Amino acid sequence: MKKAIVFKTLIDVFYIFHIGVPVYILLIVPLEAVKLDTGEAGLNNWTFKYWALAIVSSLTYVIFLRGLYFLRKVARRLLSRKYFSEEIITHLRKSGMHFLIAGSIFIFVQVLLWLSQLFVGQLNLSFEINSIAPLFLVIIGLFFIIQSNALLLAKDIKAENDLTV
Amino acid sequence: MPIIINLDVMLAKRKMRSKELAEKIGITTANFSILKSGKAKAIRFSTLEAICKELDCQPADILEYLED
Repeated sequence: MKKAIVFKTLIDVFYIFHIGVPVYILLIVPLEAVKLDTGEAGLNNWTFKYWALAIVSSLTYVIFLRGLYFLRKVARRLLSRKYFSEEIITHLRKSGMHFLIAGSIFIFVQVLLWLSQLFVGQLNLSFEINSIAPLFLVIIGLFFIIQSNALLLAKDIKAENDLTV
Repeated sequence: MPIIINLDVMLAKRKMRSKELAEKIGITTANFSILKSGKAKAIRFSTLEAICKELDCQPADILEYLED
């Protein structure tokens, strides 16, 4: 039970942090209270590539947040110890799907970036935790989907076991 | 389900109450009710054995197959 409480608390903190930071940036940037690092090209000189990248990344981030939102719902239901409830199974599946989609898009964008850098001969290969995070997101997403299938199977077995006299 | 439970018929023949049989075979009245109403998905051999022993009957007296 303690683990479920810690899990719920951590998910809440993580979720609030992730929701809070973009809201903070959206409120602060128009007032020019913070200076955004827009790379070598200034924000006004952004090409279509940069804008497309920013829009796709933002949309992917929204998908990730939605996945986190479903995971929060799962954490809330886990507190009531109803492990085989329909809600946990569907929300875990939805969370997994969102993480999988978000991770896949991030990887796709990263590969495109590498390819574009390769074509202009500026490719730098480096090992960063940020570059493997999307891969981890895909792994977690797949795990949640598999776990949801396992719970669905367990739910049916439990129902049968409960009705065995 | 095409399997019919004739427990109430056997109970009536032996003039025994459901609660009494449930206590004798060691299952809860709630579970016995599930079994009697035909909502059960499966029955353990040990439960069937205990029922047959208490009601002095054969499994076929309790379970019946009816084609859909």
